Amino acid sequence: MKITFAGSLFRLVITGISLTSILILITIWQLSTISVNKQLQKDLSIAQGVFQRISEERRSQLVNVASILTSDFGFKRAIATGDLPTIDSVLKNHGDRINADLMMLIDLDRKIETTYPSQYTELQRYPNENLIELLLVFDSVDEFIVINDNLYQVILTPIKAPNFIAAAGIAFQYDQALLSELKSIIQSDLIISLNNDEGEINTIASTFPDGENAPLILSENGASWIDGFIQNKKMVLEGQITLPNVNHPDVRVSIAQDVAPIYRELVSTQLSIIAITIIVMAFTLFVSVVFSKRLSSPVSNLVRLADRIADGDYENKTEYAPRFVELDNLTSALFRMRENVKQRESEIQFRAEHDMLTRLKNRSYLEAALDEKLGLEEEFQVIGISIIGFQDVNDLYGFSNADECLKVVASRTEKLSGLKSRLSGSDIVILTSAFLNKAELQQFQSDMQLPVCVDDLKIQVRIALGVIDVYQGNEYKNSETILRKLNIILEQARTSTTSVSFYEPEREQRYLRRLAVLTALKRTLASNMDDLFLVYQPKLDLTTGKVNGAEALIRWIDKELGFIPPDEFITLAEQAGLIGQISTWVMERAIGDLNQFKEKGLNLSIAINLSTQDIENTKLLAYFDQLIKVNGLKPSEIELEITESEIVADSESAVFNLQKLRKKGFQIAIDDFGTGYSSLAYIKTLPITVIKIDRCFVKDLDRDTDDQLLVKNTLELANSFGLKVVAEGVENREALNLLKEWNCQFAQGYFIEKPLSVDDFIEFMSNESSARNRMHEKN
Amino acid sequence: MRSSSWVFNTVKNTIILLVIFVACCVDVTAVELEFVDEKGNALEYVVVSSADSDSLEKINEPLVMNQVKKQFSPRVLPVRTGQSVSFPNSDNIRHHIYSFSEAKSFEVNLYSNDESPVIVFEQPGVVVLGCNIHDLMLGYIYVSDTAQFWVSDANGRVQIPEGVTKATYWHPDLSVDHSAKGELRLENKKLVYPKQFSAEDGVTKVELKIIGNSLTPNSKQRVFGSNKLLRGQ
Repeated sequence: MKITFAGSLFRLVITGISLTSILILITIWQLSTISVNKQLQKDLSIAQGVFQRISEERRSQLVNVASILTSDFGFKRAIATGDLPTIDSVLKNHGDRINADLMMLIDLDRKIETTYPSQYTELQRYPNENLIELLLVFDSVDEFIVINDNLYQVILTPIKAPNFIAAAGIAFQYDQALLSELKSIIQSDLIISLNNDEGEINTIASTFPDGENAPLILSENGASWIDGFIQNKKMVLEGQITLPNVNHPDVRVSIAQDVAPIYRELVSTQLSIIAITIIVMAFTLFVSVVFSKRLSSPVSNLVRLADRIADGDYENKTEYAPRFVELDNLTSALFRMRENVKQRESEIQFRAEHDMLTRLKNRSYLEAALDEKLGLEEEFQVIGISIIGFQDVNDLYGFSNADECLKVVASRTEKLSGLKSRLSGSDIVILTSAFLNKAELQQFQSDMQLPVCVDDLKIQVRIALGVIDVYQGNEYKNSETILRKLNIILEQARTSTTSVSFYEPEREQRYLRRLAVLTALKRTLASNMDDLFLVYQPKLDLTTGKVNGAEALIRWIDKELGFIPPDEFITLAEQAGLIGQISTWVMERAIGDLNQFKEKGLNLSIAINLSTQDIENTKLLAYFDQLIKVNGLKPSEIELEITESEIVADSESAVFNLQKLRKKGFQIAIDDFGTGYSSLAYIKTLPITVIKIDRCFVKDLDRDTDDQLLVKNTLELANSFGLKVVAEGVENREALNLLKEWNCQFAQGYFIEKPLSVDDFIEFMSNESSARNRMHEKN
Repeated sequence: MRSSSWVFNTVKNTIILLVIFVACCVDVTAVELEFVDEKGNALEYVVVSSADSDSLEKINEPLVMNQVKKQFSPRVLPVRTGQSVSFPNSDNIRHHIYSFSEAKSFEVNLYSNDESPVIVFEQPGVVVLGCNIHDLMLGYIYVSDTAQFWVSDANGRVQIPEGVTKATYWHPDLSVDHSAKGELRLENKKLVYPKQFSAEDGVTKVELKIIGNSLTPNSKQRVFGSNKLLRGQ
């Protein structure tokens, strides 16, 4: 169970005080009881001493009086002569003089001869049997005797005339009056009681009033002081006095001390202690509340502070100065913790938001910022920066230098205001509201392209910039789209001449189209390639007027995208490295078709288009070689076509492979001749047997004199080099006649026939004679 | 120890020799009695009287009961009936002697040493003498019809001549009223009654019961009440 500090403190203190108080109460109770008893004993002892002293004094006074009486010669004579009237008169005289209660004359047989007052004459003998013998020895005897249930102090003296002839007794009764007198001296109550024959105690005399006011006599087995306290009665404690020479076994003389005040005092002391305890408890409660408040309020302040820290609020500047050193230390520790957490969190925050290499913001921060800006519909410019060929920088100068280079480039972005972040690699993105125009961008680019000096190295960097202007109303949904578009245009910028590329929607459309085609192509290649098929365009031998060959052309009708032009997907396949697969398929299919044509009795050569990548692919070429052999074909039946623009940029290995193919007997043709920049002289160094003039020079041949000149010269040159020429794109008779006139060996084109499917091609070939006839007719 | 015992023995032997010498000097025919009280203290003034003696001579001269230093001297004076006794005053102060005794009641008012009153005691009995001025003066005159008296000395000893077989002894403290007497019987120089006696070196001890001796001052000591309380103990 958890309790508050105040509760715990209060409980502790209250427990302590309660225990202490109870112990004090018990101790005081016991001590008081003991002390009361001791005090009472002492008082009683004193009272008894005083009482005895008084009775002693009384005795000596009385003895004096008695000796005066007994030494009276006349009295002696009267006794010696038995002169009773004289004796009585003397007794009366003396008795009255000293105010005695009883005067006695006792003979040697203890017989009481006469008394004064005379009512005691009924007494026969004096009760003390030893009286005469005592008087023989001592001058006087004093003792207490009981006569008629009354206690008397008696002084007995021998009457010597001159010998011991009788004894005189002077007695004083211990009555109420005397006790009261004694009480005034000893300050204690006196009780004289007598055990009668039945064992009851009869009080003979006491200083107490009778009846209801009679005090409660406390005794061990009887009344306790609590009864007296409750009844509000006077309470006394008895102490017995042993009187000297009491000649009665049943007489009891007690001194009683009023103890009510003592017990009242005791009770009031206890009540005071209880009251003090309660006051102290209340005070303690107050103090502990104050104290705990003094403690708990700074503690709860600290708790609040800690909560704030937990909530990430590090900016609270409230000064806490608890008066307790420990809490002060705790506060300092909390502040220290806050500072550390703050620092660490800011570092983490920095790390979370920044790229640690360039100290620019990182990608996720950029995305969040972009999303926020888009959400606020702000207008801004996104500038993508990329170091062109950064991988080469890495390779050339090492990663650390490349990193340093990147840092320098990143630092150069300081010139532009706005949010700068590094995406990945060397891609840096700036969001700025400045909207740089083309000139500014080019200036910025040239600034960025200044050589970077790293460790005495001078690294020349080329910077590609991609720019997207974001205006209200643009349909940029989120950061992802923007970054994707930026990626596209940066890609374009890398390859463009200016290396600066602005976002245009059509470009994206192209990009998307490329992406879709590539995806579909991959899908097709992964499946059975059912969507691919070959068509054959007849090739007319102009010298014979017979179709003796065909160019195998690939066609692709995708299920989703529909017809896709070969130019589009072949380029993509080349870029994606898929061309090998396509070429393999084309080879297999073309050879299969060639066999079919042969079965139909058609003697043809088939032209297959190869990519330069295929030429370098020795594995593919080896497979192709094997295919030819397996199908029992001759290499001369296959013509391999390679695009001119590609062969120009080709490497030595490609040329080497081409030469090998040529040696094997394959016809090798340059496709699309005239579109590249190569000269015919250069081409002659290659193992080329055929030139295919691009259709752009042929299709308007009948009208365009430039084309006529170009084609004519090309034909002349080719013929002089011993190269055969195929004119593509022949679309009318005029063009065909011109070509025939200029000694062009072969012609392809819609005028002869469009590319045909295998079946159509076979049918076309079966009608070839009619076609030839038609041609002749046209001629 | 050894030396003290030697001294003691020497003293003892000397005393024994002395006693033997004294016994040889006195009348060999006498019987010697020694009166002691119950505690063994010697009793002086024990008067032994006997009628057995032949000597009936009357003393005409008054006997003397002197008053010396506020005391009667002798303390006890045995006299035959009819004997006169003079009371000279040897002190230089006056005395007022008196007696209320039945045998002889008299009173001599203050008199000085130049006077010497003579009083005749006609009746047998004990006359107690006192002085009204000096309470402590106490004397006894033992008046008896018998012929002879012997009074014990300070050692309690009295010699009784041969031939006395029956005697009476008296001492003031035998009874409160001084009247008590006792009887002595002797045969062949030996005490036969009372029986409680012992003999030693020819001296027969007679033990007498004296009044007041049974009470010792100790038993008369005041005992104050106990200090103990009823409670608290």
